[in-house]
Amino acid sequence: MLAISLECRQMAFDYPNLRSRGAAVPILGEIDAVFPGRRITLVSGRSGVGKSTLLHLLAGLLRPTQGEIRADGQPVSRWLTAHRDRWRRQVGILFQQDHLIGHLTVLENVILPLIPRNGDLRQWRTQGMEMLARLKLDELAGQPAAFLSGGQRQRVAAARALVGAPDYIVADEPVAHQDCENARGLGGLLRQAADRGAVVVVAAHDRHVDEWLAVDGHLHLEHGTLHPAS
Amino acid sequence: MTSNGLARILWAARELRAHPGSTLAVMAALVLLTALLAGGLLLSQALTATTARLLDQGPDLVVRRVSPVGWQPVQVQDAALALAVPGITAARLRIWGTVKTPDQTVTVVAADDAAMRRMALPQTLHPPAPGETIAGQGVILSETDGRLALQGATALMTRVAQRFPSNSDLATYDVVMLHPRDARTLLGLAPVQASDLALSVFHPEEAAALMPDLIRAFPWPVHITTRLDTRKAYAAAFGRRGGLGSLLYLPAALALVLLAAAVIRQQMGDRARMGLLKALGWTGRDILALQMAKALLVSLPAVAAGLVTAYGLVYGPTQSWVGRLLLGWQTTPPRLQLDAGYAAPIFLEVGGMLLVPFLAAVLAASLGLASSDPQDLLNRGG
Amino acid sequence: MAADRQPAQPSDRLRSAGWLVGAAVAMVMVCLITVALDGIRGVLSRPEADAALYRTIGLNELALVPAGQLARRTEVIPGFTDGRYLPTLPRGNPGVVPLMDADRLAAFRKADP
Repeated sequence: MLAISLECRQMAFDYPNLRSRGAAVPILGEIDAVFPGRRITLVSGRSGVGKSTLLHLLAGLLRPTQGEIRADGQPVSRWLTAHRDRWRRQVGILFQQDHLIGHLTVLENVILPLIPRNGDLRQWRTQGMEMLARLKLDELAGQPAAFLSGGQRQRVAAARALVGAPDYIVADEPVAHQDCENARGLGGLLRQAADRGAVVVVAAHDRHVDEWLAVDGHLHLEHGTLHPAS
Repeated sequence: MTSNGLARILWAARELRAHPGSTLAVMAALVLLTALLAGGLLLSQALTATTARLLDQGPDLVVRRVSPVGWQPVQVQDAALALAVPGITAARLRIWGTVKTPDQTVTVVAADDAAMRRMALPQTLHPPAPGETIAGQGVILSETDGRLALQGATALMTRVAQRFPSNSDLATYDVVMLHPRDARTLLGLAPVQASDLALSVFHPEEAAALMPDLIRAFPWPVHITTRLDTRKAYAAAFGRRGGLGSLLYLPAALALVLLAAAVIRQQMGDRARMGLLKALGWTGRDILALQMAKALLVSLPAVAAGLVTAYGLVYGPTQSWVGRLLLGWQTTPPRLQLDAGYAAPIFLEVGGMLLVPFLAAVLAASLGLASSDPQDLLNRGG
Repeated sequence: MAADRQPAQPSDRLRSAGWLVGAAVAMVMVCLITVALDGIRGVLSRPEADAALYRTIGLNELALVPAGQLARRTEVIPGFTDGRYLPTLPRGNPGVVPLMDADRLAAFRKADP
């Protein structure tokens, strides 16, 4: 079976309001890159260089202002909102800020992506608890998310991104608040996802990435363009 | 319903449970609004129908003799004049009037032996003997021994021998039935006189057409009231009272607008969360379904509760508020045995009147959220 | 597996949300039952007791408002007035009839031991 992939074709992006204020350089220039399945691709770069924007574009949260993004050969960035919404069910996104809903319990936060899909309550609970157990969070499953520490919140967000076994995983600074052991645990989950065929894109400027994650490819983002890292 | 559909509804309920204050506030407002609107409509409908049904049992035409100084009694032999008019099938001489007791004003009416024998009355009711009365449930006896003092053209002390049954309150609540001789004495009528003439006609719907013949039949001026006139008078009286009630509709409509605005504002405040849900794979349709499920979970039971409350207020044991607030009773009001069977159309009307704009407001606000890009929502929602 | 280790109480609040849904459905059911019962009452039990008595008494007024009040006074209902002899007719003041004087009641009591 051919592996799926995410592909940027001459993709550029800038915020319209920034352009109107006279910003000369787009956030992302013409990017041509392929993020293949079964591989973990690291995107590195300085803070503010546009890594998060690139990941949001790959996850279908934003549309490129030029060029296109193809998922498994399909120009998803050009699709109508309704079709893109449906495609996004195949994407697991781990935000830089965790974006947890504080008044929901940890388990409820984790099962959020499962609700619009087929399945019932029992199935959601089972999947959610399994994922939490793998991230050593099952003891906290009934706690409101608002009461968690920063590291715990980040792992809950990771569980939420991975619980639906997505085909495309984009993770923005996924271990910023983790100790080594938890970071390795999360890295292991990302590796498992890649091994089952998923496209995994991780943005990090952590110089010690290889301590917790075995990456297969490394791209460096600078001046709005992606280059293979040396 | 599929297990997934049920689970989604559970999730909508879970979201509502996370904001119990605002959920309960919206529900309480809807309950009040519904009870107010449905109660008013149901009461008006039931009163109008019950009144019409009872008035249909009464005379088709009432003829009173009038003079420059007011109303004049008719003579017993005047009934024959009415019966001579083609189309008149029965003429009943009525002896009745309004008199005072120490505590209230009551309507006195003379027992009509023939009518009481003819009609299917409860076995326990017998025509009153001289000095005795049959009193309605609302006639207050200030005397401890069951005597009732009446003051009309003359004064009369009577003994309440029987009471009209409470299920006939609408007809008899403050009515006192006397022996005809006592009634004439009390009302200042001679033995050959009566208060007026109640007529039955062959075709009730053509009663008004007989009026020219009737006025020619009597050698003195008359005032004729048809059943339709009486019905109109009651409808007008309800209308005057209902007019005050209908003023409540304006603030009710305003409250509904404010309610919808509050719901929309709350939904707009949910932008960031909706953006997150979209980022996590919820489609615009999923979000629309969630918002509508939440709106239905709030509005349907609230409107249902308001409708049931309205029904209880009109037909339930707390119904006495109607008499006290709307019908002018200072003492215990009569138990209104209102006709049933009008709830379905009124519930549909009020339910639609409140649910449609409420759900439309939620739908309109949700459509905007559902069609936005997730990043926009996340950014704008803060 | 984690599934086997699920606690007796689920770690979400969906069960209590279920109560909310149950209460909402129950309320709607109560409303539907009320409508059904009202319909049955409307079809089956027309109150005839008051109608029979009303027919017997022969009045064309109802005890909805207290006796003596304008809405109860059928003699002031604008009906058809024969004006051949009297183009204008005086009408009584349609206000509430005052209650019996206390001294008159005392006189009654004396007269009727």
